[in-house]
Amino acid sequence: MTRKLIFAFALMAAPALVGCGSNTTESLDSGTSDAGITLFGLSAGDNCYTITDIAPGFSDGCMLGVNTLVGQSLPMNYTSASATVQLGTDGSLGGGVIANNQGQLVRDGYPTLSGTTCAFHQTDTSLMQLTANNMFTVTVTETESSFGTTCAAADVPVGGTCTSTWTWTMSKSPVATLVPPLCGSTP
Amino acid sequence: MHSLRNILGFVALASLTTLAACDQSKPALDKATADLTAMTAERDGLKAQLTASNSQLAGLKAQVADLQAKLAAATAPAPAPAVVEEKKPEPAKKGKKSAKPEAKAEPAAPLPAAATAGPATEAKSGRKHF
Repeated sequence: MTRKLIFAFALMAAPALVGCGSNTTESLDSGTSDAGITLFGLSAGDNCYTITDIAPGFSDGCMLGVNTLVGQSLPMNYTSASATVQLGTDGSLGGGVIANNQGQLVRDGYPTLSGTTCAFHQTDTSLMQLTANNMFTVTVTETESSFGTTCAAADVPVGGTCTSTWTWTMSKSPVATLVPPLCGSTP
Repeated sequence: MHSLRNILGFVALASLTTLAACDQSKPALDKATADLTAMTAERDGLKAQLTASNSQLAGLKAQVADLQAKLAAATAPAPAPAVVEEKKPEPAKKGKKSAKPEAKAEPAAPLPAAATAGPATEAKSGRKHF
């Protein structure tokens, strides 16, 4: 009986020993990124980007005049260390991380209409897609809601909420300045 | 004569005793043989289990390696845009040509979110809105 037990234990220990002596030199892939993608670059710091085109089919429920801005410029900041972008004045069109030529920029704030005390809730979600060095398309969805009681009736959209959706093509302005009216925060 | 009969009697008695002893050991021998047969069968079964376990182990190792590779690929940070170097005119130096700056690839670090609240005030529409 004792011999049987010893034999059984020996057989059970064998797989464990095989496991201990297993080959540990197997190499693993090191997580390389998509090799097929041509990655584009952005200039670091603050730069002006000109709106060169607006895609057809835009919707401007908030009456922002998005189609009238073709040819004008907006500031953009790119921080290379964190790969983050802020598009528009103080990130008015959102901020976010860019990777693999694309990123989602987000804004969520409560601005006040200039010259008034009318505050409202504004969100922007912008999908940015680099198409070349310092060139990209950005598809923006902006929603305005929760207008304050001090807002004039003309400033409040029908139903209290509005949404604008559009796609701009933007490329870095050759004018390397943030001075208005080409790019600064005040035209 | 009497002595010969005694000797024959003793031999017969001894033979009987030996035979009786042999008869007593036979069941133990049979039992040992049966035990050996059973143990051999058990050993063969365990050997088969060991072979099956080893092949299962090899399969599992391959699966682990595959999953680790996929995990490494999934958690690797996506490449961020490189910085496009601005062309800056260099001051002219005698006997030295200005070198063209090369685009510098930035390391792809773990990236934080960068949502903004936007400007505090803005126009209802137009350029001042953005």
